[in-house]
Amino acid sequence: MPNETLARRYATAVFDLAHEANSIATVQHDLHTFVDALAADESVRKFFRSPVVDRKEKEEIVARAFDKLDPIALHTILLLIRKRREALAEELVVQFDDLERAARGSQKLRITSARQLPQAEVDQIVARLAAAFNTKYDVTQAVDPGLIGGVRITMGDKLADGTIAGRLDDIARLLSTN
Amino acid sequence: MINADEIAGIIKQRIATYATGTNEAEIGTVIQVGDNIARVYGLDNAQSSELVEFPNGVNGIVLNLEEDSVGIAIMGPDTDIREGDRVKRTGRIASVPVGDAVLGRTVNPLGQPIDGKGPIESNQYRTIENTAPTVIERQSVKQPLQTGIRAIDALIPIGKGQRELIIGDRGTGKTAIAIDAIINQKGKNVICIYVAIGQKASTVASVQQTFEKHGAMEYTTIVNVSAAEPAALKWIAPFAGCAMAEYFMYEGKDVLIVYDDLTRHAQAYREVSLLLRRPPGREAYPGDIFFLHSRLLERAAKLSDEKGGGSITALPIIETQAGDVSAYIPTNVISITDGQIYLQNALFFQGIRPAVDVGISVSRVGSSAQTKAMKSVAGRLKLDLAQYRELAAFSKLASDLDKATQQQLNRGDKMTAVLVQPQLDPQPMEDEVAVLFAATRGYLDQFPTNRMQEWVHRFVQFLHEKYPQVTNTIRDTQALSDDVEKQLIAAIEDFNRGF
Repeated sequence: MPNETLARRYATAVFDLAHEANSIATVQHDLHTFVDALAADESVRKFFRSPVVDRKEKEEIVARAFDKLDPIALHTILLLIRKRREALAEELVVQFDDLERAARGSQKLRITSARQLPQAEVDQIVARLAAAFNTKYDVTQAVDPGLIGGVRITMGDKLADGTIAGRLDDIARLLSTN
Repeated sequence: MINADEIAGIIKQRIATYATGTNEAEIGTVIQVGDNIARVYGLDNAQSSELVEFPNGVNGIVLNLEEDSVGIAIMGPDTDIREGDRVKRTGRIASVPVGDAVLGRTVNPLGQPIDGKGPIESNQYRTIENTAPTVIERQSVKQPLQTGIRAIDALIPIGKGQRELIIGDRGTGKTAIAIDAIINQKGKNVICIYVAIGQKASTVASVQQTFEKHGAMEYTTIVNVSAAEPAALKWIAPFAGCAMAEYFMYEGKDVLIVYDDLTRHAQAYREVSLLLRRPPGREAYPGDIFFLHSRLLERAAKLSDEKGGGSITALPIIETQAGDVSAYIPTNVISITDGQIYLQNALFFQGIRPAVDVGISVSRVGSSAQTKAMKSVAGRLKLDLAQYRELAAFSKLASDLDKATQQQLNRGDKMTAVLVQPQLDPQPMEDEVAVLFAATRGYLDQFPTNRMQEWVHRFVQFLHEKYPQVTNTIRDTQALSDDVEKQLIAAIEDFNRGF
C-alpha cells in the first residue's frame, strides 16, 4: 500500500538535506534514475522490494550497483532498505517532485485533449491560466480520443472540463436522475 | 406545418448559440477501495459529511479528513469503482428533500424514491445533521400522543415531544406497537415517519401495505434501507428521517418518528467506524456511539409556542438478546430516552399481547401529558396491578388463600386480560377509558377471564350504539366528571345484564 503521508516525511527530510547541500537538481535526477531502473527491469524491482533478501546483502548490492549516484540519493535508498520501507521509493520520488515544484512556486498542470494540440495552442492556454491564477506551471500533455473534442485541464485538485465527453456525461446523468 | 427552411434556420440559430461552457470541479483520486470505503487522495477542501460523486454516479459521504487523504463511505455498489478513479466534490452537505412531497412515499436515506411512484417534487432540502433545539426553544411535554394501545396509554403514557424506547427480544412485537401507534394517528393531525434500518425488504413491504390498507400512508413517510445495502446508508437513515421530521416540527406540526431499530443502526456505525480504522471500544463499538444516538434523539422535542409549538415524538426500538438490557447499546439508549416500554418473551407466549411488562416499563414525562379522564382510571389500575403482581408471587407458595386475597387476584387477572389487545386494532382514548373504568371498578370480576376480549369488543360496540353521549363527552371534555361516571356505570350495568 503506498503511504503518501509516510513518503512525505522521508521526502521532506531528503529535500531539506539536498537544499542545504545545494544539490536539489542532482538528487532529484539521481532518485529518478533509481526509480526508472526499478521500473525498467522487473527482476531488479522484485529484488529491491523482496522482504526475503537479507538487508545487509541488499544494501551492499545496491550500494555497489548505484555507486555513481549522489551520496544523498544513495543514502536515502539505503535507509529505505534498512528501515524495510522499500515500497515507499516510488511515492517518495513523487513527493520529492511535489516539494521541488512547490519550492519553485510552480504547479502541476495536465492538459488532456482528444487529439494532439499544436504547441502554440498549449502555450496560449498555459499563459491564460498563469495570468488568471498568478502561478507557474509544469505542463504535461496527454491525448485521449475518448474525449471526442475540447480540453480537460487538471491543476492539483481542480478540474476544468470543457470536453464533449464531459458534457455528454452530464446530459446522461440529467436524464437518468429526472 | 413548419417548412424545411425554417427548420434549418432554427438549427442554425441553435448551433450559433450553443453553450460551450466548461465544467469546473474539485477532484481527488481513489487510492484504495474496498468494503464500501474509499480512501481518496486530494479533495483538500472537502468538508466533513459532504457528498462526493464517483465516476459511475455513485455517491459517497466524506467521513475522515486526514492529512493527505479523506475516508469516504460509498453509498452504493463499490464494484465499479477502481483505483485511480476521479472523485468529484459536490459542495453539498448530505441532505434530503423535505416537505409535503415526501408524505406517502417510501424513500432511501438519500431521499430518492424507491416506491416507483415517480420523482419527488420538492425544492426544499434539509441537511441530515442538525443541532437539536436549545433549552429556550423547548417547552415541557404536555399533550398526550395516543398510541391506541390500552396498556401503553394508561400505564406508560407517551407525550408529544417525548422519546420512548421500545425494547425487547426479537419477535416480541416491538414493531407491532410502533405500527399501531402510527395507524392510530389517522385524523389526529400527526405526521408519521417510519425509519426501517437493516430490515428485510419483505417486512418493510408488508408494513407499507398495512399502512396503505389502514389509510395511514397518506400522512406517513417510510425511510427504508434494507439489510443488503451498505452500512453507510444504514448509518445515515435515522438522521435523514429526523431531518424530514424536523421540517414539519418547525412548521408547527406534530410528528411521530419510529427508528426501527437502533441496534442495527449501531452495528452499521460500528462497521463503518472499524473500516475507517477508528479505535474500537466496548463490544468493538467506537467511542462516539453514545453521542451518535444522543444527538439523534435530542432532536426530538416539543417546541415552545414562540417557535410554533411543533413536536417530534421519537419511538426508538432496541432489540435485546435473551432479555439482556444491560448490554452496551440497550443501556445507552435507555439512559438517553424518557422511559421504556419493555416487552417480555414470557408474557408474549402467555398470550398477553402486547407483551408489555408493565412492572418495569416506565414513562418519565408522559404522565403529565395524560388526559384527566385517563389519569382517573390509570392511577387505580397501576396500583392494583402492582399489588396483584406482589400477591401473585406469594400465592404460588400458599395453599389456601383468604377471600380478600382471592378477590384481589381475580381482579388482577381480569385487568391483565383487559390490557390484552389484538394487533392493528387501536382504540380511541374515550373507549380505552370506558373499558379500563369497568375493569378497575370490578365490573368484570364476575366473568371468566377467557371472555374478556369478547367483553371488551361487544361492550365498546354497545356503548357506541346505546350510550354515544358518554364517549362523546369524554372525548370532548377529556375528563370523567361525576355525571359522566354515573352514566358510564349505568351503561356497564345495562350491558352486563345481557352479557
